[in-house]
Amino acid sequence: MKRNSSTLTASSRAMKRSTSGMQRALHSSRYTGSYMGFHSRRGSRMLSESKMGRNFTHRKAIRVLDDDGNDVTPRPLYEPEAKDPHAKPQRNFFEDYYSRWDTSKSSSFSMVPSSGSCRWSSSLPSISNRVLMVSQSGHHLIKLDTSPPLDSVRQAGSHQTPDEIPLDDVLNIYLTETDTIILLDLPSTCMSEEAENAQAVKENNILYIELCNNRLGNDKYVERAMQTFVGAAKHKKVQSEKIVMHDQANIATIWEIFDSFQNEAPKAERACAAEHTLNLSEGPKRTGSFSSISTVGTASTGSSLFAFNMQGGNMSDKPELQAIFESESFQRNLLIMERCLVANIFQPNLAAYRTLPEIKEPVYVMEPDPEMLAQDEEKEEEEVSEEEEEEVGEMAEGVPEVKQEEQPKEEEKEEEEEEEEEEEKEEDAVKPSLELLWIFSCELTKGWNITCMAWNKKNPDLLAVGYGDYRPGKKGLICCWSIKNLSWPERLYHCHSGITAVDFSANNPDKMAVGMHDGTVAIFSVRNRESRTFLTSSIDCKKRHVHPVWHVTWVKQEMTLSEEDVVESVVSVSEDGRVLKWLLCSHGLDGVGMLELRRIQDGIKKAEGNKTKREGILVSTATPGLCLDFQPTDHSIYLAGTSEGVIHKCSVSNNHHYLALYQKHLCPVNHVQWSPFSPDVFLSGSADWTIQLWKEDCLTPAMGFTSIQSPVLSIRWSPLWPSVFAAIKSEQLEIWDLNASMLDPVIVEPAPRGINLTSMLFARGSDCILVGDSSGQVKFYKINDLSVGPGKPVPSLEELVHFPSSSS
Amino acid sequence: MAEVEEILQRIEAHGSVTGTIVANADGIPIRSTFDNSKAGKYADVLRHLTAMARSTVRDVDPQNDLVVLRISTKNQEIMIAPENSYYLILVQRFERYART
Repeated sequence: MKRNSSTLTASSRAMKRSTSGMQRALHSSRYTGSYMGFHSRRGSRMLSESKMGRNFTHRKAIRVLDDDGNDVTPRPLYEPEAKDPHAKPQRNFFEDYYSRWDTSKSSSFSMVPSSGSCRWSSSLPSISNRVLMVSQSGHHLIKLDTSPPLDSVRQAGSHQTPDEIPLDDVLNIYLTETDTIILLDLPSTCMSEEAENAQAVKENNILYIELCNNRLGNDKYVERAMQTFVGAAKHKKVQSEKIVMHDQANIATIWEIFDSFQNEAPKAERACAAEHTLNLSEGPKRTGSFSSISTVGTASTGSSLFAFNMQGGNMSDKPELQAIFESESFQRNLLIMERCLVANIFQPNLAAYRTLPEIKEPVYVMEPDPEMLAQDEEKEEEEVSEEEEEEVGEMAEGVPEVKQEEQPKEEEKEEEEEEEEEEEKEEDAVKPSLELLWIFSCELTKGWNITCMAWNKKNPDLLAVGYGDYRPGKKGLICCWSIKNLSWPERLYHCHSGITAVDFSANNPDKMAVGMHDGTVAIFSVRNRESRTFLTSSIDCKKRHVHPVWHVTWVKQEMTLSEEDVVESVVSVSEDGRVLKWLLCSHGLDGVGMLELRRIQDGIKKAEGNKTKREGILVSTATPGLCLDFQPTDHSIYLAGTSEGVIHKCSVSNNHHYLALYQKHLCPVNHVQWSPFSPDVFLSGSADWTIQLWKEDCLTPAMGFTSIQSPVLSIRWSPLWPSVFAAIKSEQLEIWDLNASMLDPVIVEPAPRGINLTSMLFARGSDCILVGDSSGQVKFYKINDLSVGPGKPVPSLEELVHFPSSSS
Repeated sequence: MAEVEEILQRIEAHGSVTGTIVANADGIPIRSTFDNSKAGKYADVLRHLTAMARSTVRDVDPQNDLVVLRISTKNQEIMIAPENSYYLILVQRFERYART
């Protein structure tokens, strides 16, 4: 049995009991749970049952009587076993309650905490226990007899069976007893006078009273007071440096999150560096778009360049401006701006060119909705839509005027959901006409003679124009114009000699082949803005032309049998009569002779039956070649027009001999072109004022066209309509439409006074024609009201022209 | 640098262009053909608008970005190209080339 030291004050009840007393009153098994008021009295409390039993028996004999002799023996909460049926419900209640409370262990009873849960003190006297005797009057003792219930529970616990639960399933609940859980144990300080050791306790009490009485003068007990020093209070203050607070807010927009993901570890350092530098130069914090996540996006090079430039932290304007100017993005933006600007001005014309409806200028009365056609760079590569229906309908009157249709439109050129045209489409009674859209001209090109023009194969808006004089020794100029900027060329190249031929490559769309008046063939790259000169040229080649190169083309030729190896090479024809194919070698271009054009003389007429045959004899002198055209379907066959008026049909594989001769013209053949629609039909224009239409297998032309008596400088087929072609004479532009008339051109546009028209080109995708003249201007015309158009039946050449069957 | 100057001058030489402003990211005009106060006003006011426009564009698709913002008003058109470190502002009067 443990000894305890309970702290007792004079009048308080003992809150902490001796373990001995406890042990006796409690169950023998271990205790669980919390105990109220028992903090340190855990431990094994072994209690013999015999003591319990003793207590039980002992307890039953106790009766409490108050002054009046009433029996106020407190009845136990738990009925003794004799009253089992009565006790059961109570037991159930407690069991349920505590089974819930203590799930891990079997159900147990514990002392219901009540204010006066008392225990009998042990028979052992303990020091400094003061027990109030029961006999004191006026005190009602409330004794809680808890042991019998325990005992009864212990005995009866195993017999617990649940009542019948009115459900389908019969649940078996097994209740077992757990350790007794003591919640509160307030041992009393009183005991009955008839207790066993009442006498001993009495004696103890007396001894104690004596002790208290003796205390006064006793040496054993000395009263002493102590006082501790209370230290003087010290006030201590601490002051820190001012904590500078920055407010920073950020809106976590989607793009910021995206940006921060972009700039993870590898870029973090760079971004940090840039950030630091930018923060140096630009004080206040900005929204995320300007916080220098400058490595993101296409502007990254520009702005990171800028950041590094600014590392000096120089705040003055000049370097900043300089830095801005040098940044790529600035230049690009300038470009865009310029284009937007020009587009605004020329919007109607550009719309006509691109066959889009025009935007009306906003009138304040009406609801304005003028979204412009944005000509941003991103849309450069988009194809122009071919909705000519609108255009033709618009121009139905035949008189071009500013159309006042206000229509909301999209930014893209492709989408065109316009409202219905109010005007009816008039029929062919309307005369076709040309309408001037705009002019490509700038100060630099004033006065130059335009010799050739070519579209870029990839970018349909890019046009290369060659300027040059036919007099030797004069310089040349090449301008690359873009439709998007009508006021200034995109690229300008100065050359040492006049340009006579130009062509873009299809495989490498940035490569441009140029033929010059002094016989040089050069290749330029238009990709880079800064390059001012050609990539490579034939100046150093031994076999180069020494005479003006009149025509240059890029030709695709298969090197091997397979289709994939399509190599493009430049083929040129020049006045010295040679057709050369150029290959790129280590020091410039190298020419490979493909053919030498020879003068033809009429041979002896041989009579074979009824047919006469003319045999051409090749004479050794070379004859100047003036034009060249490869057949669109079969790239190994080409036509070469000579200054004799003879057109040679040649093959790539045959270097010495022609395949066929087409003799009709009497004067130099200025231009030859295969029809894009009928692969065996070609057209030739010559200085003998005529244009001849040939079929490949027939050596005499099918048709000839003449108008005024002036050399035909150039002819072109229309890329859109098989029956339309155009011809340039130095005084006028003629547009022929074989569908409408075979005798006269349908449109004749005279040149302005003093100016000669020199070259022409059809525009792709729309009915527009470009005319270059001797004053350096390229005029864009729109052809209106041709007899052929969308929605109308388009006759093919074969239907229109009755080609004679091939004859030898 | 000289090229850029040249292009800028060419733009400014256009008949319909009222003026150009190159402003830094703070909205302070560095180079402008307007007078200072007007330029400052334009730059300041447009700065916020373009930031908002840019935020809108990128919100929808973070990989996208604003290239040019064009504001068509009654009598003019204002084009702004925002970048990380500068703004390029161009003001053009409405003037249409009538089709003859």
